[in-house]
Amino acid sequence: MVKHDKALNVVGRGLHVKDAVEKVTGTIRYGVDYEVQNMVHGKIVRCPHAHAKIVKIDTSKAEEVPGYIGILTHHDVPQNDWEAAWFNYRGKVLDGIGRFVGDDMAAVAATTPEAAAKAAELVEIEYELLPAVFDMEEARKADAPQIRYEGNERDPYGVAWGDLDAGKAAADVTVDCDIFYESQQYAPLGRNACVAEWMGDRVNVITSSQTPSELRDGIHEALGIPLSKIRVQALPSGSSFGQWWSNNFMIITVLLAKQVGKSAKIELDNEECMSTVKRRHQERTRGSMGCTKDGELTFFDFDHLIDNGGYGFKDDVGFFCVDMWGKNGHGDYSIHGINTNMVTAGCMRGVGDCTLGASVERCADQLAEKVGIDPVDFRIKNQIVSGDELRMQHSRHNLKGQVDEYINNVPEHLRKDWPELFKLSAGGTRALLEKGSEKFNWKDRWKGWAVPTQSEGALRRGIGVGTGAHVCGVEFEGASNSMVRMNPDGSAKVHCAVGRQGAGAETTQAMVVAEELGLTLDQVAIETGDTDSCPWNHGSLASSTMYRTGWASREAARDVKNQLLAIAAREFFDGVDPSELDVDNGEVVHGDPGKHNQRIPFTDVLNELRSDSLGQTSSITGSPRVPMPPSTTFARQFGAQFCEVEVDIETGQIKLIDFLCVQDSGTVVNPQVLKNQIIGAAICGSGFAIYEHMIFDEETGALKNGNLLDYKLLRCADFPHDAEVLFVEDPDPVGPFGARGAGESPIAAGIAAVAQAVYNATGVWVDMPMTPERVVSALKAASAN
Amino acid sequence: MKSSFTYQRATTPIEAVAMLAQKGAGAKIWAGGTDMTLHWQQEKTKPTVCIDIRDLKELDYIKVERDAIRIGALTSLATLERSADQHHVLASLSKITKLMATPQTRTLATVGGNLCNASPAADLSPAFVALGATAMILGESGSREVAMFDFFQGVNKTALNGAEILEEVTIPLPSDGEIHVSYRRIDRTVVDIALVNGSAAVSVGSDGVISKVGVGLGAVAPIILDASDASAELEGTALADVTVGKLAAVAATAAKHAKPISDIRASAGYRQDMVEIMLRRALEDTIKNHGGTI
Repeated sequence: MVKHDKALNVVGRGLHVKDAVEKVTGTIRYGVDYEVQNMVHGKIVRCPHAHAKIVKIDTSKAEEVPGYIGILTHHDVPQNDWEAAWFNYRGKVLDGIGRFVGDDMAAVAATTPEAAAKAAELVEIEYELLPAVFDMEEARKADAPQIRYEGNERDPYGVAWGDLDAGKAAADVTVDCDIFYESQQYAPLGRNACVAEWMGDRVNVITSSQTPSELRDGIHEALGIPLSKIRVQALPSGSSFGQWWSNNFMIITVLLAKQVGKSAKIELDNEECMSTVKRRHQERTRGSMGCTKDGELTFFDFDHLIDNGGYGFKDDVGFFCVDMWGKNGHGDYSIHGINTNMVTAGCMRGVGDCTLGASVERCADQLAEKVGIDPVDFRIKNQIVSGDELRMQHSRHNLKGQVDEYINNVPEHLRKDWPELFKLSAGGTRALLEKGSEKFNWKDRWKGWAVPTQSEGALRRGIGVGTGAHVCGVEFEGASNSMVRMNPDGSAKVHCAVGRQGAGAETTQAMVVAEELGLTLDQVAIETGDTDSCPWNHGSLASSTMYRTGWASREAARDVKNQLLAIAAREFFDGVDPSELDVDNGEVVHGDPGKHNQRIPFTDVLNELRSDSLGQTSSITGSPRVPMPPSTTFARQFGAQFCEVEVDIETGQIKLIDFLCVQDSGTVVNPQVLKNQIIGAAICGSGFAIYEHMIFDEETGALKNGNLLDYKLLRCADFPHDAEVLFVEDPDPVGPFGARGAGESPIAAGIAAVAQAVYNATGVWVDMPMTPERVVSALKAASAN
Repeated sequence: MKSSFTYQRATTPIEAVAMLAQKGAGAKIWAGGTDMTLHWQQEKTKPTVCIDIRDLKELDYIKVERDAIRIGALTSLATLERSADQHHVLASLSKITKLMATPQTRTLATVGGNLCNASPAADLSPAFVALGATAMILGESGSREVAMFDFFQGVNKTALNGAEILEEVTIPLPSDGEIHVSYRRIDRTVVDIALVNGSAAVSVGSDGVISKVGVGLGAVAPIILDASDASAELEGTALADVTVGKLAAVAATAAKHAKPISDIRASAGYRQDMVEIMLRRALEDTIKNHGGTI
C-alpha cells in the first residue's frame, strides 16, 4: 500500500482539462487542420481488387490534370518492412501488391486536393489478379492463397497451466461455446491527415497520433534514415481507440513529399478512415469451461482465432480474462493470428477482452445458471483478489524469459521496493462487485436467470452484470520515459510523448507533476507530441498512459525536486540534508518549521542556480533515475458494470435503461476525466454489444458500410443520461500516487453486462452485435426448439 | 467525379420554374440542401445548374384551415417540429420530425425537400400518404394537384416533370369528426433512417364510427405503399368495436402489399415481418388517440 505522507493538493481533484476552452471554441488543431507554406496535396491511389499485383502503371491521363505534380509508386519506395506497435502493421510502405480492396497502391501529388483526387482517379493501373481469401478458417488451410511472404498464420500463442485433464475430471457441469465476433470499427469522427516537410535530409511529420515515438520508429524502419533526422509533431487525434498510432498513409506522405520535393499533405476522407486503415479483428472463440456443483471453476479450454486482415501481424490479443478469473487452477488458451484479404486489423480498445473475454463471461454465466448461482456471487467466488497469482504472465515462458532477464539485470538494491512479481499487487473485482451490487440494488432487482425484471406487452426488461480486466501498460518495447523541466520563473513543463485522444493525458500527466512539485496545475505546461523534445515513450496504448508514463513523469518531477531541494539546502537552509526539505505551493520549506521557518520561492532557488553556475544553467531538467518494475507481472485494472435493458421481443430492439460502472483504477487522479473515460467505454462497449459491426462484401471483402449512416455508433441519447460511475480506489504500490490504468477494462465489462441483461430479459443468448434482426431470429429459433 | 455547377437564385416560384425550363435536365433545385449536398458529394446527382429557392418565403408557411392543413414546401423540419400546438395532426407530424436526422440538419432541411428526395424510407411520406394528402405542384402552365400516393414514382423519383416545383402539401381534414395519425418505425440508434416504417390515419365521425382509414408503408417497396383493401376492413366499424385482433388483421392485410428487399440494413424477411408490426402499432395508437379502448 502506498502511504501518502501529506494531503494531496492536485491529484484527486476534478480539474478542468487543459484544452477545454480550445475544444469548445473550436480552436484546437487536429491533423486535418494543419497546413504548412507551399505544401502540395496528396491522394492515395487505392486497389480495386481483393488481391492483385501491379503489372503496369500509366499516368498519362493523370498528368493532364491541371496542377498535377507527380506520383509515388512502389518503384520509388525503399523495400523495407516497417512495424507498428504491437504488430498492428507489418509490411512495406508500397510493394506493388494490393492485399485488400482499398489498399494503398501509389500516391499522386497536385496543387489542390481536388486536382489530386482527380489525378488519382485517372492513374491507370493494370493488375494481375491473385486469388483471395476472406475467411479465417479458409486462410489457415495449406492450399489457401498466401497473402504474405511470412505465410498467413502466425505461430499459435499459448497459455497453459495446471492439469487440464484433471480440471475436466473435477467438473460437475461444463458448457461449450462457438462464438463469432464481427469487426468493430474505430469510426473516428475527426478523420486524420498527415503533413510532411523535408528540410534537407531531415523530415518533420505532423499528424494526429497516440504514439509519436512509435511513428518516428516506423519512419526510421521504412526509410532507413537515422532517428535523429525524423521529427514527429503529433497533434491531438480526438477519438481514436487505437486507430491513429503509426499508419501507413503517414509514411506515404513522408515519401511523397520527398518524391516531389515539396511539403505534402494527405488528408483521409471518412470512407478512407473506415475502410483502409484499421479495425478490430473478426474473432472466433471455441471452447469449454467447467465448474463444480458449488460453482468453483475447474478448467478453461479455449481456442481462439483472430483475423489480422492484410497487414496485421498479431499472434495474440490481450486476454486478461485469464488473470481475472484467477481462482481456476487448470487452463489452456490457444490463440491463432491469421491474415485475410480484408482491411488490416489491429488493436482496438480492450482488444481481446471485448471478445475472448466476453466468451468467457458468457460461459461463466451459463455455468452459474446451471449450478443455480447468482452472477455477482459466481464472479466473487472465482475472480482474482490482490495477492493471487497472475497465471497469464506466469505461464508465458517466452515472456517470462524476457522478464526474468530484465529483472536480473536490475541491481538488487533498486528492486527491493518492488511488489512481488507474478502476483496481483492491488485491486480486483470483489470490492467492485460488492459495492456495485449494493448501489445497483442488485439483490432486490435480481429475479433469477432468464427471468425478466419487468414484462409489459412486447417489452421485457432484464438486468446484467459484467466484469473486465486489462494490463496497465506493457514494458516489452522499452520503458516509457518522460522529462520535466523547471523554468527560471518556477513554472514547469513536462515532455512526454503520449496521445491526446480525449482521455485527458495532457491534464492528468501535468497534475501528477504539479502534485510532486508542489505547483498548481496552471503552473505546469505539457508537450505531448514533439519527438524532438520528448524522450521515447510507448505512447497511449495498452492503458499505459497514467500508469507507466505517469510513473515516469512523477519520477522525472521527483528528480527535479531533488535537484531543487539540494540547491535550496545548500544556499538557504544552512546545508541541512535535502531530505529534510519539501516543496509546498511553489516554495521550498523545512519539514520542521520550528527549526527553519523560512519559505523560499522556487524562483529564488533557481536564481541561485543561475548565479551558481555562472549563468550557464537557468533551468532544471529531470528524468526518472530508477528503473520501473515490469508492471505486466503485477498490475491490472478492473471494471464491473451493472445494467438494465429493455428488449422489444416483437421487433428485437434493445434499449439501455440503466447503467452503473464501477471501476478500480487505483487512485483516481482526476475524477471528471476518468468518469468521462469510463462512460465512454460503457457506450463503446454497448455499441459493440448491440449495433456496431463492419459488413464486408462476400465476393470482394470490401467494406459495405464504410460511412457513419450505416455503421451504427451509439449516440449519447442512446445511453442512459443518468448512468453513474463509482470508483473503488485501491492504491497501487508503483503507479503515480497509487494510480493505475483505466481505459480498457470498462469496455469489456459493459459488453458482458449488456449481453447478460439481454439474456435475462429474453431467455436467449444472442451473438454480438445483438441487432434487432439477430434478436428476433434468436427468439424465433428458441421458440422453434 | 463531382460535377461543377453554376449557381442561380430564384426570387419567385414562377422564376424558379422558368429557370428549370431554361436550363434543362442538369438543373436542380436547392432548398435545404441536406440531401443534395450528400448526393452531389456521392455523385448520385451531377447538377450543371443549381437553383437556390431559399429566398421564396411565400413557400414557407403552415396554415390550419377549417377543411385542411397547408404546409408550404419550404417549411423547415424545425418549423414543422415547433408547430405541435397548432393542431393535433401537426403535433403528430412534429413527433415524426423529432425522429429525423439531427437538430442542425432539421434547421436546414425542408418538408418539400424531404418529399422530393423520394426516399422509400422517408419518415414524413408514409404519414402524408396515410393522411390522403395532396401535393400542389407549380409548372409553367400553372398549378396542378397530385395525390401524395401518386407523387412518389420510385426511388428518388417523383411526379414532378422537368420544369415543376412542389409548392405545398395539403392535408384534408374531415368535415365531420376527427382524424388522428400515427407513425412507427424500426431504427437502430437515435440518428438513423428507418429500416422499415408504417403510418396509419384514422377518421372517426361524430357518430363514433370509423369513416376513413389510410395507411402508408415505407422502406418495403421503391415507393410508399398504401393498402385500400386493408383500410376497407376497418371503415364502417364503430370505434367501440375495434379490437387488437381486428387491427392485427388489418395490418396483416396491408403487409401483404409489401415487397421488401434485403440490403445491409435489414433482410427482406425482417422487413416483411416488421412492417406488419409497425402498422398494427400505428393503428393501435390512432384508436387510442380517438379515445378508443383496446
